[in-house]
Amino acid sequence: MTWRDFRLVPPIETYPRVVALAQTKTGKLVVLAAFVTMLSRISPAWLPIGSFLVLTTLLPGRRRAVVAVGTVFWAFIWPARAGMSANLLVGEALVFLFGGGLYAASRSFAKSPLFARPVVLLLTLTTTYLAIVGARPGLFRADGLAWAVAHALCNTQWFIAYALIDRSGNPAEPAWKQVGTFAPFWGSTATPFPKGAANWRKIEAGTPEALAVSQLKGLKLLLWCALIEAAHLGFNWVAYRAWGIPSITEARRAIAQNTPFAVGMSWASIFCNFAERLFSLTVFGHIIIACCRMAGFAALRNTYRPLESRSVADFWNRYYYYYKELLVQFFYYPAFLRYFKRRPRLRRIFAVFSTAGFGNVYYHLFRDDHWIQQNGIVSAVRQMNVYAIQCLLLSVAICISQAGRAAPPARGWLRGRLLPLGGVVVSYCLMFVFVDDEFQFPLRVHARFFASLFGIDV
Amino acid sequence: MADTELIRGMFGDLLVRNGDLDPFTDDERLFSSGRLHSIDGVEMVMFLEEKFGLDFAELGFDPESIDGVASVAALIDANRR
Repeated sequence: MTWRDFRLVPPIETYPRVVALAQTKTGKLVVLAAFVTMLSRISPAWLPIGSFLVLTTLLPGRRRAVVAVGTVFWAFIWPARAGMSANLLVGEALVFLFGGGLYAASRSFAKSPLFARPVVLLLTLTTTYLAIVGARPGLFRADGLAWAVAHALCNTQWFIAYALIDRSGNPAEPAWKQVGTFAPFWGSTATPFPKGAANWRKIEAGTPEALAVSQLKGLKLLLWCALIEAAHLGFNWVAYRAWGIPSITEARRAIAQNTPFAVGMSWASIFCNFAERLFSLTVFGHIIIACCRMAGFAALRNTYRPLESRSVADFWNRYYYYYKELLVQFFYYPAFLRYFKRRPRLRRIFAVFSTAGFGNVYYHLFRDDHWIQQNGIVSAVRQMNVYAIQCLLLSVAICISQAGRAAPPARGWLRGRLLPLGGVVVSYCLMFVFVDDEFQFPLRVHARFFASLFGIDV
Repeated sequence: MADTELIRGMFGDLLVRNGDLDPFTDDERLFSSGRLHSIDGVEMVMFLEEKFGLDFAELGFDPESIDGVASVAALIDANRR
């Protein structure tokens, strides 16, 4: 064994004796107990999640049914206990019924022109509905059923979209199984983790050994997650407390108040912002995927060795895998397969801009539907101008990095790893200048902050 | 046989471009396993359009059908008949 083989968290899923032990009753109990104990330190929902993990472990033949029950629990019972309003629960139920119905109809009437492109139909319906209820602020009561449906639709539309592309799946799944993927108990955002039922079927453990391996990988991932979170806390302490580096919000506020930090401090701020985003997303995604693996679905990680990236496109793939997969599935491939087929370079560029540009903005506009509710659809679209700049920069950067893919990557530590990674990190640090989730500052503040990084005062 | 060699070569090229020099088998799922990414799928689509005249806009695109050497060979075979 060399130092390269060293792993902080040992690869227990590759040890035959451990895998054999994890298939016994005692082994299962130990793995589950260890997992749920760790989970209880980081998730307030550890008890219901743990209970469903026990059920998926004990009833592997009925795993999808257990997950579907978990979806009902997660989407309705748990929020109801937490005090979610009746309208929100009814809105969620209506959208689930709509999703299941659309899936069933798209299968039954697959040859009808209406269902020729079911995802386009879904997105058109969602957009139209949101445009109507959000036509102007206050048109519908914020706590009424119309907005409850809108909110549920925004949160569920990509789950429904994955169900729709699985309508010709083999074997064809009944609608209840597809609806059972809309709010998996291991968690998700508006982005489905780990994609839809077609992917679930591929990664589901089919044997006791595969289940043991999947669970050991889940346990290992959660442990790894705890270490990353510890590093995250350490990083925050050193960067923000010990060194006094301003957060990116403080740096933006300083620009807005005409009291900018020194250029070096501003650069430190955007590097810390990059690290902060990387830590947060990694931990968040690891918890979800660890639970998913424990449930018997050997899903790929959401964030996988991002610091081994060699290009902007590579980083995007490693940083937020399931989001990138969503955009590629529903924007990149459709654009690439249909348009500019005789002009390869334009074809790629168009597909990249459709994805990282248009798709990216579209996703975030509807994910953050509360802005539509608050300000109306027209203002919400206008408000996306800052994020649209980031999407534009990302699209350009991906096009450039794709153009450089034809040649094999350079070898060696410096030219093969460090320099490409440096370029990737700097690119994302600069792009994240235009990511302001709370829309706290107008575009001119972000633009001035960006310019100030290069010593330009505008 | 020649087709399979060609397909194998294409998958090999894609892996090398990602810095992945590990061997692979014909039955291996290279996209589902995470060794190749959806962006690589585009290269594979262009390769299949150019070399075998497949039109995915007409056929409908199923990422499963290009997941590895064996599935691509089966896809080409099915569309020759």
